[in-house]
Amino acid sequence: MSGTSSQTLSFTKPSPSLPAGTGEDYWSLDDFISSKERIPSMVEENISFQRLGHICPHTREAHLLSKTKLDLPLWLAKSLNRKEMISITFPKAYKESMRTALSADPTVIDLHRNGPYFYSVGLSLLQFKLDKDRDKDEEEKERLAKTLIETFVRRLRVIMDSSHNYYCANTTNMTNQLDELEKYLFSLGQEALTKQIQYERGHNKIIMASSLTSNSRKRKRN
Amino acid sequence: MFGEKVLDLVGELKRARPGTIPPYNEDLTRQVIEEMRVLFEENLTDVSEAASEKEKATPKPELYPSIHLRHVCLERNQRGLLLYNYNRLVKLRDLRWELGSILPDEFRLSLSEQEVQWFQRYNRSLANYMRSVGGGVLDLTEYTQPPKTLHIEVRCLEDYGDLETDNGTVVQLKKGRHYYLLRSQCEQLIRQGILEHIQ
Repeated sequence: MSGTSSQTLSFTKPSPSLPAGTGEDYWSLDDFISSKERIPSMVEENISFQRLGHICPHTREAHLLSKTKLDLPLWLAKSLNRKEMISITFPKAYKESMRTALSADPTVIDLHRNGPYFYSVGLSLLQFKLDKDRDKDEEEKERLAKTLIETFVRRLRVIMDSSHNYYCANTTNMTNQLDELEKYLFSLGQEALTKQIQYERGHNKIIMASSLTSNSRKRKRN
Repeated sequence: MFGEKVLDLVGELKRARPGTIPPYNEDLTRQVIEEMRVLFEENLTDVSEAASEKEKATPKPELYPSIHLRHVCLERNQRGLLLYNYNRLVKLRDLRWELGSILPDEFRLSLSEQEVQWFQRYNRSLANYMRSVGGGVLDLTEYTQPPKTLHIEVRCLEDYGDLETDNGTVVQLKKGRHYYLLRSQCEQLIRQGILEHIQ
């Protein structure tokens, strides 16, 4: 789900990679940044992190004791949760109240403020162990997955429509409420529209200055 | 909290406008490596304590959660550093294909020494490859679009100086003038922004 533009050549990526099935790309900037999202967590019973009390800002203990509540970044929470060292609850943007709002009308919600990696964090949450009871766990995840899909599908229509029809217009109003993934899709649509219009006008035969130079030249002039 | 510095580092690259390379942040890189060193040493003492087989010391399995946590942080930092360097190289490689083998000053200044060396080595490999497949005359960065005509009309956007064409004549490129040149000759100059293709 990397948001980088398609590259002209693929060059072999260096070897480390994440375990399969995580849906993450080891080399993607977006995936790396999106996993900074803070997840409300609690240290499990019978587990304590010796000599790591300083991680939690509101205790003065030398150790991080069991039942301590703290916000951990997603990348850390995921690994500790898999080892059953911590339990987690959903962040605000995935709680019941937000889900109700999303099911009412997803198109008016500002997913940039509630994200900006709403979908990729949501997908990661599905890999957590939420509840010791297996059925409850499944049920909770299924509801989250449904919300994610419905939100995406219903918002996509509006995004597609506007990305295919704004030409040479200021789109910041439109895009600053979008999640990063949606922004990427929006820009793909815009790119295609520009290409189509250029083709119709016969501009496609022109060799263009590289976007790299036009940027650096602009900077020089300033 | 661990892993915040490396996030700053990667975020800096992400925020850079498309088509630019931000200056190599050696300072922050060093700070991340320092954080990793501390984590590693703490883990080393804890591991030797936890799994100690000396007679007097008792093994301490209760240290394992901390060891695991620090290890995850180490991996996170490692991934960030690799990601930072790799994505910069991708940008640098794209530069080679867009602007040719000479690195413009505004890019050279933001590269680390190793990156400049890498660029030179990449240049050499690419040149070797092109020589091996095309009998010495093939330039893969030419003709990125199928040509409709041999010659094209161009406008010069800045005083460039003399350009020697393949048949030996020298054309002086001056700002504001129009020329009718071989397409293969000016494609690179157009992409560098010195000439403009007009119809």
